[in-house]
Amino acid sequence: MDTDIQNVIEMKDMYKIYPNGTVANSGVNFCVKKGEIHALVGENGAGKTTLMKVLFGLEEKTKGAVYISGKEVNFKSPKEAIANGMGMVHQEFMLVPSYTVAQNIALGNEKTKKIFCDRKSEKEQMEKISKQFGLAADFDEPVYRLSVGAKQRIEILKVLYNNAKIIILDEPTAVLTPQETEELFCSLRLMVKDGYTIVLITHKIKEVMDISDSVTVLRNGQTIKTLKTGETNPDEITRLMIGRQLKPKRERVECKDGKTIFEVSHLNVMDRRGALKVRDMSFAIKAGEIFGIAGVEGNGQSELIDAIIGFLKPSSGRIFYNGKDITGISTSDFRKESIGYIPDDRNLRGSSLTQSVAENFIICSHNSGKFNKGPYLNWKEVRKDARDLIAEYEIKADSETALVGSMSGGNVQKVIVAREISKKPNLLIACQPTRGVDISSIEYIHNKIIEQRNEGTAVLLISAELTEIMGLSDKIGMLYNGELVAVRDNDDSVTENEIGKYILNGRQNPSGTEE
Amino acid sequence: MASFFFQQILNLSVFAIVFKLVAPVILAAIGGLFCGKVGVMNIGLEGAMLVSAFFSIVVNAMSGSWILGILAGCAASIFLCLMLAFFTFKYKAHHIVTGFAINTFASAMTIFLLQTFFGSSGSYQPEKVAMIPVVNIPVIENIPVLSVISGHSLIVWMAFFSVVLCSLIFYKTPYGAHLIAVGENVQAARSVGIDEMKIKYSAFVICGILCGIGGAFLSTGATSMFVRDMTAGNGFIALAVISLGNARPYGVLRGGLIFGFANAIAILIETYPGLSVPSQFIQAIPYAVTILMLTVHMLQNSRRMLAPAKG
Repeated sequence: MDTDIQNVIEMKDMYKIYPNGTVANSGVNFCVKKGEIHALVGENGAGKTTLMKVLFGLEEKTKGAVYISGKEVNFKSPKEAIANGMGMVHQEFMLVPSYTVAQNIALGNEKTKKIFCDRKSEKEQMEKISKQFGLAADFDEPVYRLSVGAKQRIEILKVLYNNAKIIILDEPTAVLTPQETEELFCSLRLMVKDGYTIVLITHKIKEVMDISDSVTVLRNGQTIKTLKTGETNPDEITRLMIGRQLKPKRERVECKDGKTIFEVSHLNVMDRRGALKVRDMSFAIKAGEIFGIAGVEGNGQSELIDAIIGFLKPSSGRIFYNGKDITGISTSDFRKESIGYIPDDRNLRGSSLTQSVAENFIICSHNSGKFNKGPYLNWKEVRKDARDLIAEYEIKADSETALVGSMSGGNVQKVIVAREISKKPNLLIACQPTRGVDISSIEYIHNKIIEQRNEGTAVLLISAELTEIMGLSDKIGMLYNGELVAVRDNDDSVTENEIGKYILNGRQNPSGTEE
Repeated sequence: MASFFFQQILNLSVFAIVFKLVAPVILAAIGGLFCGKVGVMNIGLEGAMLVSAFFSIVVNAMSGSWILGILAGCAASIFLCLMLAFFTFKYKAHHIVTGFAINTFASAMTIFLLQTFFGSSGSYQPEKVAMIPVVNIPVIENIPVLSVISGHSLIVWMAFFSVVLCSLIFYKTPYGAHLIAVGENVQAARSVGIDEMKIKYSAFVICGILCGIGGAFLSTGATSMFVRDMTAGNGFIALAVISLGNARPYGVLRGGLIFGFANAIAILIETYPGLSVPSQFIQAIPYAVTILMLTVHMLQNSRRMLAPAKG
């Protein structure tokens, strides 16, 4: 075979067809040179993760050939891949919560003295790696206590500890703050300098441009093109990824009415353990305004939302909707108001995975009369309505009876968005509305939110994604440790860096310009 | 009455009763702990002990060897545990339902064999049983107080030893680290190349061995007969003991001893001359104590869960 020794990974004409008939890869070619950072990009369902799982021995290929450093291989298990110097950092953390950091890093590759684990010599090696690549870790801390950023570092330490030379990172920045992302990239650069090869799966174009040397674009299970990052631009990559130009963002129309729809005043909320998570929070949202709350997850977002929707009783403070006090309202009464609520966890709260699209659409309106016929549901009407929504919101579903659990994340999210927006809400509460969905779905959902705003809906947007906050909001509230430490009009003077400083450091804004 | 108990404790016979009662419970609990660590609540402990009790005494009586008896019991018990593992892992049957079926099967099978081969539907009492030996420790057996550790069945020692061994395996060996990892986050284990099935099945084999030893003790150590359903809830008590011990080996030991003492006291009260309390009431004491301990334990746990996390 005419394989180039320079190519540490070479995958030729790869096919992967799942037993249920889903075609994940159909003719992928993928080459990675030694010592480069190679970005593998594509939308959700383009086949990136499947390709890497095949490479790592987690899935069996249907057809094709894989070469590692010029040698043909066919890994049957991750064990073989690891033995051949490969390592993979998965999208979900592969950590054992109760184990310490050190135990997690050593898992599967423990050093032994006689028959017992030799934790001391394991730790010496870990400390060496940690220092070399700037990956700080507290080795004796149990993993469940760590922040996501720290967990991510542990994952990378783990593959390095297992002597991987080729490292695959599957969307490593999805859960990181901009600062954490920058730290991660610093470590990656150090690793490449040391002769490591890195494959970075992502769908964030900015990261591709920031850090990669080359980029391969996948779409619908096929390789579209491999490019040198230096010779391309974000627009070209986006076009290759989605197969068309992005639609321009919907224009904002200034809303004249400006009546206050939603107001939170001096709200304090404790979580179920009795820890104060929302501190003296006050804000108001007018009709036709998007109020974005930026913040690292776990700074009180869920408690704020739970207090609004009636899952938690606030310990003090009031919540007003249309001038009516709705503090401590029951969730069922809350849902009877014309308020749309897009929860942050689409699988847990947003949808019922084991039910059909049509059933998911009527989750809140099954008793509204529209879908009832005496004591029964009017299934004909339910189905018709579902078909209309599927068409209107461009949801990819086989039919209105398809199970939501069988659909991709982006489409599930669209089902939820369709349900919440189609009730024509006066107030829309959107939490992480585009987390983990692909570019076209993000584009679609963002445009729908702006459309609602233009029609006079007040929107409360909660997101950890700064680009989303900055791209949509009229006003931005910076959340840190349960407090809104600053509220700014979203004009050109607001920078990502400034927001980042507030949401990471609170009021001690190093630039000293605010507060 | 108080002086009666004091006397009993003073002559240390209470310890002999306690150890005899808890040995099979602790063995089964440690076995169940292995299954629990890989994510299966093995309610088949009861059945596994029962078949072992049956086969060990049968082979024992035929061969005249207690070692062969224990080995036969272990084989039967391993077979039953592997059956549960097979249905649970291969066919994804619910382990509680399967475990229940295993228990019913074990009970029915032993009664059937009892009837078919020994013509009895209640019990089997062979003329000669090679009893599992008692360990008498020279010198120590003659020292007052210290003599409490002498004169116990070999199985009692094995039960205590199993606790120590289990703790070493869980927390000091790579195998233990893999075992717990498989139970807590199987994806994580798989991603570093750990063969989850090997680990899961091995846990059930270990459980089978331990239940086998415990079962053999019931019929050829503590007594010298087999009685239908003679495990009498020991397997379930073992599950309670696991929970009581926070799924940790030394916790299991502690939980087992609490149960054992409650049981021993019930026996002592029963034997107290001239007592007019109904015996059923007294026999319920150990179970009541177990429930009480579980309740206290749960309250403690929920308080710990509610305490704000550090850091």
